[in-house]
Amino acid sequence: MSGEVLVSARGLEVHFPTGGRGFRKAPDGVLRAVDGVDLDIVRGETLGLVGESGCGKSTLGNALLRLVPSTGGSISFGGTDITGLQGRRLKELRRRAGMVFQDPFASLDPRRTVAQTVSEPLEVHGLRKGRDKAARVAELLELVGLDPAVAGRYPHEFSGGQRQRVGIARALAGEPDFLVCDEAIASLDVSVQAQVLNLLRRLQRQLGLTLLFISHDLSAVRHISDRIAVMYLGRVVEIGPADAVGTDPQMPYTQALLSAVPLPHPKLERERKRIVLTGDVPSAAAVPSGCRFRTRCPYVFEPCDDVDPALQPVGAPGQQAACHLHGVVGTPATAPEGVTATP
Amino acid sequence: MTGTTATPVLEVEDLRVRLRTPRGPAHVVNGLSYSVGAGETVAVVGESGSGKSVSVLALLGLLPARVATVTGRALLQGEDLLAMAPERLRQVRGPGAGMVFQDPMTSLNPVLSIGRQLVEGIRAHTDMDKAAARRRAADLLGEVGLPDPAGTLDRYPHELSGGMRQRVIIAIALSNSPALLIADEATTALDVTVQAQIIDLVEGLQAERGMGVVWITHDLGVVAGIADRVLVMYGGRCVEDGTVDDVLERPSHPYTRGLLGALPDLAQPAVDGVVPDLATVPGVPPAPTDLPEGCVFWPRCPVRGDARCETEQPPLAVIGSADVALPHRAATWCTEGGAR
Repeated sequence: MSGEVLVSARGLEVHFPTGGRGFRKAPDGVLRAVDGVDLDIVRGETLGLVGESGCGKSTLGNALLRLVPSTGGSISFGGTDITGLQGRRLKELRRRAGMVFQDPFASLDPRRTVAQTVSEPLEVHGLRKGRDKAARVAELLELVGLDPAVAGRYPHEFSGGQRQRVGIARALAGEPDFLVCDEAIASLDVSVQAQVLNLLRRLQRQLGLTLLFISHDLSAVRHISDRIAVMYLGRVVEIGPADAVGTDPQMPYTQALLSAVPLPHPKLERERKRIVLTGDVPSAAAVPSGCRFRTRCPYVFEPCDDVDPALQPVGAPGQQAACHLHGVVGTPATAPEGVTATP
Repeated sequence: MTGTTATPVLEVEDLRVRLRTPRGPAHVVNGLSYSVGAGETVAVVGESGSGKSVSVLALLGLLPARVATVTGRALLQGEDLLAMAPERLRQVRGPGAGMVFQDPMTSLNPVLSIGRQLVEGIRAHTDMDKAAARRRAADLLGEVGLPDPAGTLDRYPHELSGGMRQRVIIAIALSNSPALLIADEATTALDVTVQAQIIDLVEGLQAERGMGVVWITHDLGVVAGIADRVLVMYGGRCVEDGTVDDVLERPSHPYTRGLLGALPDLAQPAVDGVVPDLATVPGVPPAPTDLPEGCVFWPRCPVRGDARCETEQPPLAVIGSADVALPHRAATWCTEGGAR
C-alpha cells in the first residue's frame, strides 16, 4: 500500500444504546455496530468492504462520512481531523465526500425531476447558477451514460439501472474526492449490475475518485476493488490486496466466507471443499470476549477466549489479518465496559 | 443427485399465464414445458420479470383467479394441478408439493408461535391430535438443524434470525413429506454462509427422501452447485435448457452467454494482473405487456444473426446430440459455437 491516505479511521467506534423497554426507561445495553476500526483508504484506490448483514459495514461507511455520530476514535479526511467537524466546514466535507445508496427506488425523490435531483448539490454548495447549472447537469448525465434529454423526466419513468445512474450523477455533482457506494448494485439484476460496475470503474479511473465499495457480494467486490477489507461484528478482521485476500485469505472467517460463495462453474462447484460455518453471527449487543469469531471458528484454541486479536501482517505484502493462528498478538480481555460510551 | 426416473414427479406442458393489468394483458409465462424426476433438482433461472416465480405460483393455484388466466397442463404424480378443484388442490399442497418462499422475514405470521404455524400444516393433512402433531413439529425442527427444537416451538418469528426462520419455513414445507419441493429464491435474502447451510440442508433432505426439487433463482452460482438440469427463462419463455454442465459450460443462447459474461467471477478475475471489464447485456428485459415480435431477446441481442430474429419466434431446438437423456436445447436462430 503506497500513496497518500485520503480517509483514515483510528479506533473508530459507533455504539448504539439498546433496550430500555417503554419510553422513559434508560437504555440497558450497547450495540457495538463499529467497534474499534483502524482503516486507511488511499487516494485513488477502490477499497471493497465485505461482511455479512449486521457486521457494521454500512454503519462504518456512514460514520466515515459523518452521517452517524461516532462514539469513540477519530476520523480524518485529507489529513484533517473531521471527527468533530461542524457548520461550514462540515458542509464542505459533504461536497467532497458523497454517497451512492443501495435502493435506487427509495433514494430518489419521486416528485422531483432528474434535473432537480442532480442539481440540488450544485445549489446547496453554490457551485453553478442558471445556464451553467443546466449545462453541468447535462454533463453529469452524459458522464453516467444517460441521455441529457432525460433531465426533465421523473424517477418512475426509469428502470432500476438508470435510476442508479441518476443516483451516481447526483453523488458526483459536487466533484467529490471520495465516494461511498453502499450496496449500490444489490437491488439490480445481473446484466444491469455489470453495467453499473463497469460505469463505477470507468468513473473511478476517469475522475481519479477514491471509492469505498460496500457489498455483501464477494465476486463483485473482488472484481472492482484494489484492496478488500473484511468485517466481522464491528471489526476489520482482514485487509489486503484484492488478489491476496481473494485467493489466499489468512483469517478463518474470510476463508469460510469465500468458500461459501457459489461459483457459476458446475465442475468446480462439485470439486470444491466448502467450509460451512455453524450457527449465526452473534449479536453485536453481545460480542464474545477475546476473538469475536471464536464462537464459529473451526480452529479455535486457548488464546482465542481471552485475547482480542489485533491486525498483524501475514501472507502477501500489505495483507493483514486478526487471528491468533499467526501468533498471539492483541489485547487481553478486560472487564466488561459500562453502558456509557466514551464521547 | 443425478438421473431421471421413469415417471416424473412433475410434468409441466405448455404452461401459459396471462395477467390482467391496467396497461393491458401481461403475457408473463408463454409456453413453458419441463419435467422433474424423483430426486432430481431442476433450476429455473432468470432475471426479475422473466416469469420464473409466476410460473410456480400458477402451478399451486396461488395466483388470484380474478386477474390470472392459466392454461396448459401440470401433472403432479399424474394428476393435473391446473384442472383440480380448489378442495383437491388444498389437499395436494403439503403432501404433494411444499413451497419455500423467498423472504423469511415476511412468510411467517409474526403473531403466531412457530409451533402453532407448524402444527396447523400438519393437522390440516393428517388426523394427528395436537400433542402428536407437536411432537412431529419438534422432530421436524430438529431435522432442519435448529438447536433446541422443543423450545423453538414456543418462540415467535421475531426471536429468530433470518437463517433460522428460513429453516422453519423449510420445516413447514417438509411437514407432510412432499414429493416435490418448490424453492422460490429461498436463499436470496440470506448471507452466503447461511445460504451454504440451507443448500446443504435441502440437498441432504432430498437425498434422504428422494424429493423432486424445483429451485428458482437468479444466482447462476447457486445453480452450478445444486442443479441437475437448468432452464433459463427470458420474457416468459424458456430460451435454453439442458444439463447444468451443458448450459453453464457450453451456453448457446446469446442471452445465457450474456448473463454468464456479466457475472464478476471470483474464480478467475484477472488477466495479467488486469481485471477486464464485464461483458454487459445492453438495455433492460422487455415488459410482459409489450413483448417483441419474433425472438424475445432480439432487441438486446448482440448477434442478431438471422433475418428471422425480428419476425419469427425461434422454437426450442436441440443442439448437439438428441440421443441423450437430457438434450441441450436453445430457442435461437443464431447457431454459432456456444463455448464460453
